[in-house]
Amino acid sequence: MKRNWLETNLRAAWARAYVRIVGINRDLSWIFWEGVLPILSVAAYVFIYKALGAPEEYVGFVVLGGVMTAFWMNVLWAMAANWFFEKHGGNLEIYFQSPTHPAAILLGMAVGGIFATTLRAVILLVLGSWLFDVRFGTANLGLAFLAFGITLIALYGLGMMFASLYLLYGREAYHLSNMLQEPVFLLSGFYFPVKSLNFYVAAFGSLIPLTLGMDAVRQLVFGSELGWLPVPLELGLLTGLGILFLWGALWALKLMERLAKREGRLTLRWQ
Amino acid sequence: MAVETQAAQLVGPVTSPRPGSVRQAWRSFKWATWLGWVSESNWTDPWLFFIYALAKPISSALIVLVMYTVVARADVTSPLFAYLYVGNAFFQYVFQTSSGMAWVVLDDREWNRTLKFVWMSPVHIGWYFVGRSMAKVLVATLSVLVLLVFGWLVLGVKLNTVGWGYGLTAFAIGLAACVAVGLLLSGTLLLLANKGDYVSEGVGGLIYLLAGAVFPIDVLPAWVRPISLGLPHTYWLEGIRRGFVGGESMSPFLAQFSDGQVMLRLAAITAIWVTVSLLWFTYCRRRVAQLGLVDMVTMH
Repeated sequence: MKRNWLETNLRAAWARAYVRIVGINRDLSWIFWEGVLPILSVAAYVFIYKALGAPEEYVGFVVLGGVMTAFWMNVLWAMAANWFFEKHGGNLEIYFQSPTHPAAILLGMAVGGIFATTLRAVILLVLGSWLFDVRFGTANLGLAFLAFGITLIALYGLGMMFASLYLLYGREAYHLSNMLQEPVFLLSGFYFPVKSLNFYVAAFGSLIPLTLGMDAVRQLVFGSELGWLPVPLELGLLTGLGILFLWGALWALKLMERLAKREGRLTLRWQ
Repeated sequence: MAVETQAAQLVGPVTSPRPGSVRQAWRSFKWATWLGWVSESNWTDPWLFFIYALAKPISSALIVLVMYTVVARADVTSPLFAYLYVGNAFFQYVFQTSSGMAWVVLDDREWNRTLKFVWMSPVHIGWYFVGRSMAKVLVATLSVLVLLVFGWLVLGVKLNTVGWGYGLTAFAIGLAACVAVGLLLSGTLLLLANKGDYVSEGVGGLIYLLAGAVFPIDVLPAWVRPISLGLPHTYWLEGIRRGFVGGESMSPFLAQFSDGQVMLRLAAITAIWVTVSLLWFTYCRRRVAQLGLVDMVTMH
C-alpha cells in the first residue's frame, strides 16, 4: 500500500513535470522568444553601467541578474499563479479529484519549471557573457553550483507555498504576481550588489532566496569585495529558508484544504 | 407592419453613428476608456489599487537610482542623474500605452472571450483598443507625477520650470508615437496565435534599449544609431528632458540639434509611424476578418 502511494505520487509528479520538460520545448521558437529576447533588458542595464563608467564586474552582475530574472518570473507565473490559472482553465478540480497528494503536483511543477527555466537561463548566460565579454572566476565553480542549487530549492519551495496561498485570492492573484516583479528586482539586488542597500532592507529582501543566492554566487565567481554576508552564512540561511518554505508549502496545502471544505469557494472562477 | 411602426414610434429614431464618423470614433474611445478603467481597477479598493499600480514604476526608478549611486557615489545633483531619472520616469508611458494596447487583444480574446462581441458591435475597433489602454495611461501619468515630485523634493533633481511648454508639446506628440506602436502591436497580435506577450514585452524592451531612455544613445554601438534615430521615442525623450530638466543634453550626438530641430524631427518621424501603424492595423483588421481569427482562442 505504501509503495503504491509513493509510486502513484511520483508518477503524478512526473506527469506534471513532463509538460514543462517535453511539451513546451517542442516548439523551438522558445529559443528566440525566451532565450534570446530577454537579452534586451539585460543590455539596457549593461549600457547604464557603461554610461556611468562602472567597473567590469558590474556587467557580470547584470548578466547574472538577468539569468535569475528568468527563474523569478517562472516562480511568479508558472508556480505561484499557476493554480489560479488552472482554476480558470478547469484543471484544478481534476487535480484534486485524482488519487494523488496535491504536493506531488506541486513537486512536478517545480521540477519541470527548474528544468525548463534552466535551459533558457543557460542560453541567456552564454549569450550575455559572449556579447558583453563577461569573465567568470572558475576557482570556486563547484561551490557556486552548490549555492545555485540550494537557491533553486528554496526559491521553488517559496513558489510551491505561494501556489496554495494564491488560491485564497481571486483576481488579486494576477495583480500580485504583476506587482512582485520590479520590487523584488530592487530588494534582491538583481542588478547591483545587495550590499548597497540599507542592512535592514537587505535583510528583508533576504526572505526571497534569490537575494542570498545571487550574492553568494557573485562572491564565488567575481570575488568577495562586493559581497554582503560571508558565503557559508548565506548558504546556511538559504538551507534554512528552503526547509521553511517546503514546510510552508505543505502547511499552505492543509490550510487550503480546510478552507475549501469550510467555504466551498476555492474552485469558484472569475472571483 | 403596424407592430413595427408602433415599435419604431416607441423607440424613436435609431441614432447609431455612421461607421467611420468622428462620432463613432469618439463613442468607441469614450466607452472603451470607461471599460478599461473599470476592468483595471474594480478588483480591489482604490487605495490598494494605486499601491499596486505605483509599486512597479517606483521600484523601477529606484533600481536606476541605486545603480547610479553605487557607481557615481551618490552624486544625484549631476545632470546625468536627472537625464537618467526623467527618461526612466517618462518611459512608463511606452510600457503602459504600447504594451497595454497589445495586452487588450490578449485579455479580450483569451481571458474575457469578449473580442468577438466587440468586433460585431458598432464600435471602431482601433479606437476601442486605444480607449482600453487609456486606463494604463492614467496610471502611468500618476506614477510619472509621483516620481517627478519624489525626485524633485527628496533626491534634489533639478527640474526646469521655464521650458514646460516645450516639454508638454514634445510629450503630447510622443504620446501619439506610443499609441502608434500600440496599434502596430495590437494589429500584429490579432494575427498571432501565441507568443503575443513576448512580442509586446520584446518591443518595449527594444525601444527601452534603443531610444536612450536611461543612457545617452552615444553609448550604443555606432551601427545601432540609425535605428535609434528612426525611433520617435529618441526625440521624444530628448524633448522632454530639454523641457523639464533643461541644461545641456547628455548625448553629444543629440546636442547638435537645436530645440526646434528636435521638435521637427519628433513630429515628422511620429507622423510617419502613425501613418504606417494605421495602414498596418487596417490590413491586420481585414486579414483577421478574412481568416476568421477574431474568436481564435489559444489557451494563453
